[in-house]
Amino acid sequence: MEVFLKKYILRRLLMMIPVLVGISIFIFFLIHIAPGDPFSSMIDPSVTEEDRENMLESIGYYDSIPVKYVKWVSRAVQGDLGYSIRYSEPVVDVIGRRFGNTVLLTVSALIFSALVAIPIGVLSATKKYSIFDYIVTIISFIGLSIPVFFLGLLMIKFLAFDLKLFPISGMQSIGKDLTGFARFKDLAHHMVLPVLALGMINTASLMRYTRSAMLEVINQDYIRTARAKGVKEKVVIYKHALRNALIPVVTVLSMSLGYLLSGAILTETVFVWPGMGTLVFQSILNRDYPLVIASTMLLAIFILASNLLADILYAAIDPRIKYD
Amino acid sequence: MFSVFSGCSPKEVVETPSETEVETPVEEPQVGGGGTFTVGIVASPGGVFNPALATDSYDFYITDLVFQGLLQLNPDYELEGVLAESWEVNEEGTEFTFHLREGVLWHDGEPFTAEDVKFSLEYLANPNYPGSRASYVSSIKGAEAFKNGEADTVEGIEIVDGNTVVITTEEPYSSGLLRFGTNIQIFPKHIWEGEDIAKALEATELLRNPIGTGPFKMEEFVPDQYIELLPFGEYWNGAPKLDKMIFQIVNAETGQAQMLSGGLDYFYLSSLNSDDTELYESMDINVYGVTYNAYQYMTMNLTMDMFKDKTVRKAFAHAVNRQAVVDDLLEGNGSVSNNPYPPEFWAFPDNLETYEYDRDKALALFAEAEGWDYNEGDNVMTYNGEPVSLELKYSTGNKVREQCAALFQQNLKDVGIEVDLQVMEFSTLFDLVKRGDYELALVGQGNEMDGDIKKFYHSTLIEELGSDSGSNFIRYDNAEVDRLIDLGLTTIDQEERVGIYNELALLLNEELPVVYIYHWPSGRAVTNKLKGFVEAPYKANYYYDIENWYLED
Repeated sequence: MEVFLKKYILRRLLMMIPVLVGISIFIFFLIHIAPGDPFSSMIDPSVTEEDRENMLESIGYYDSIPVKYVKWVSRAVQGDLGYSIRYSEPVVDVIGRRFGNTVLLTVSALIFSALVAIPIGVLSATKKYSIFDYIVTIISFIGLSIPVFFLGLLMIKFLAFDLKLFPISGMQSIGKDLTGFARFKDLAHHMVLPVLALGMINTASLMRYTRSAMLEVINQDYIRTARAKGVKEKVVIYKHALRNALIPVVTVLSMSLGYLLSGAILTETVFVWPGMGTLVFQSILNRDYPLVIASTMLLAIFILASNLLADILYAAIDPRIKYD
Repeated sequence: MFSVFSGCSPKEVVETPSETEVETPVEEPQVGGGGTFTVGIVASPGGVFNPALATDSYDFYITDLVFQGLLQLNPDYELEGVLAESWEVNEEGTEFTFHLREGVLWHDGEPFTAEDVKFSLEYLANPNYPGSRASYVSSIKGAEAFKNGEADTVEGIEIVDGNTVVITTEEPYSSGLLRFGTNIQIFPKHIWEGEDIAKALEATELLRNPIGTGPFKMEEFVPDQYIELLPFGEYWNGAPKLDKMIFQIVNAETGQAQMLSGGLDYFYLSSLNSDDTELYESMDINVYGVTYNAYQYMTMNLTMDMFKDKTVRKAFAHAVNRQAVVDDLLEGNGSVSNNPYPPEFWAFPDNLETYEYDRDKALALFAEAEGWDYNEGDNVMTYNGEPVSLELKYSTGNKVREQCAALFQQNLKDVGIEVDLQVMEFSTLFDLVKRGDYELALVGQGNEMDGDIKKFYHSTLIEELGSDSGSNFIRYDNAEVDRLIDLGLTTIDQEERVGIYNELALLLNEELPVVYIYHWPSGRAVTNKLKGFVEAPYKANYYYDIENWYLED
């Protein structure tokens, strides 16, 4: 089993290489085909067209796209992802400073939604068609249909502006130079609203998945058998049923990492959270080519990795699944 | 609970500014006491904090505080000395002499000298210079030779008796003082001379830790979060009174909430509207309009035969309701435009034709124009027998412009013209317009403070269709316009220039190369605790006299 798993992971990792190459070609061509250039939003009336062209020349803008791609790949395999045009800083550093912030936000939101959605989903399945079930269903449909930026703005309006419970935006109190635990507390305080907003969009769907997975399992023969044996209802639900119901839930959970990342773009913009979301968005608007490509590639890797994680987690939960 | 920024300064120090100061004997320069001043900006600077290399408007918020030019414009549009104490121009307008201020220090304690000025100017003329301002010095004598490697220095940039810089141009250059004095900011030779100029944009450390002569110096830059600046104690015009300046990145939508709750002291508003203004004022926040020296316009592709006749363009101007744009969409904050210059600007002429919204007049003009024919019964406009159906392209990100597109669609339908709206992001729109791949488009254009509009209207700057490199991308060709533009650039006397630019504006008003739509102000919300603040009509001097700003408790 151990050996199989290792082999399986290795094979999956190797399979990621052609996928990533494909993605890089696709993204590279797509962003370069889009009209505009890194300096087209520069509307300073005193800058002449000649100067603008010289600047474009110096970043290799006039090469053909395949030439640009070959240049990029040959540098990228040596670990050089180039300089961000807007930030005048190596792309690796630009991303490095922000990636952690996005992971922090996304993973917190994921944990939050799992902690809320799974118990509620189980409860509403066991109390099918009760008032509790109806309320949860209604709330989750509202949750599914509210766009995250709107939810974010609502939270800012009521919780941050009117009640002043939380800061409006950012990830730290500026100009305070906090350290140690005070700094952690400050960060946690700033995280509450964005994590809630981002977590909410996921909670609703996860709750629905948990509920339906539970319902399906509860009707299985082996559950009936367990009950007929006289096993306590609690044990039936939480040991026999839940464990089997979790298999699809784990898939959804791992897959939703990617979903959360795209939600993070909006959440980060609303809450001015300095992460990858705002960065990708801004870099596309600015046609900051090296940055767009590197950050989209990183997101692609992140999503592929979360899919792999989902498959591996299967094994831990469902002993029937074998890797070969 | 969440009032992070207010009340940081100890109460007793705040009393110091202005009048009370007279009684205290002159001491060591005293920094601060004026509180922490927090400014909200809606996007992060990139961190290119060098005045020769920055291209991002958010970087300028910082470089304009850290670096200075030789001169500056005051709110009355008059030149004042900054790093130069006095200056003169010879009669022909070819020799610009700047007598530098003595005793100015860089933020690292090194003295500021004429060498720094020469270095900053020559930097722009360097063949390897990777920035966007090479044209600022291209008129200087010998700049071309230096660029081609034929000379070691630029002949027209001379240091005389140690503390005077003389700049000589090939030809009379009316914009010389503004260009060399205010557009170019001086940065330190001792920091940058060792750096490979071709790789200057990769010198992240130097770019992020700028050393200037300005009233504020860089303390900390955290990309996407904030920038902290501290007052420069040895500033030549006296240490600034503020204790600290913080530029905080905020969301455009929630920045207002932060301003209202006291989290910000100063916030740039992309537009003004009366609801917001009322809300701010009810919370003791002042709102100031700052006129953009700019205009919004609708361009009709001049390479298409149907738009070549100015009668047609005038008909369009009468057909669209620009007054409604100003009254309803801008809520009166702005004015209908009929030429490139806003009413507040010195080149704005009297007696402009106003092209009122008038369907009958529009139809009469269409009837006059060759090929255009209107059928009242079906409400259909035809051109050469074909029903007229046009695409109007515009970009997202400017609400007024987006609503304007929908309004114009309605207006043009009233004269039988079908308009198909096509919205896209700005980079895409601008690229298509430059290549001439459009029929109608809504765009904005800024002017320079010297009134020059060569870049946009001069026929020598037209490129063939499909090319995106001509700066006269509306492809407007008029010999008389060219002549006036050239004359304005070489005339030194300001009074004469007013006459020339008035004439130019009136000519464009008559020829209507584009349908001018509106001039508009941006705004800034400023806490009424801020004292010493000088309301400036233009963005060019938004930090005017900042060393004397302070927050009252």
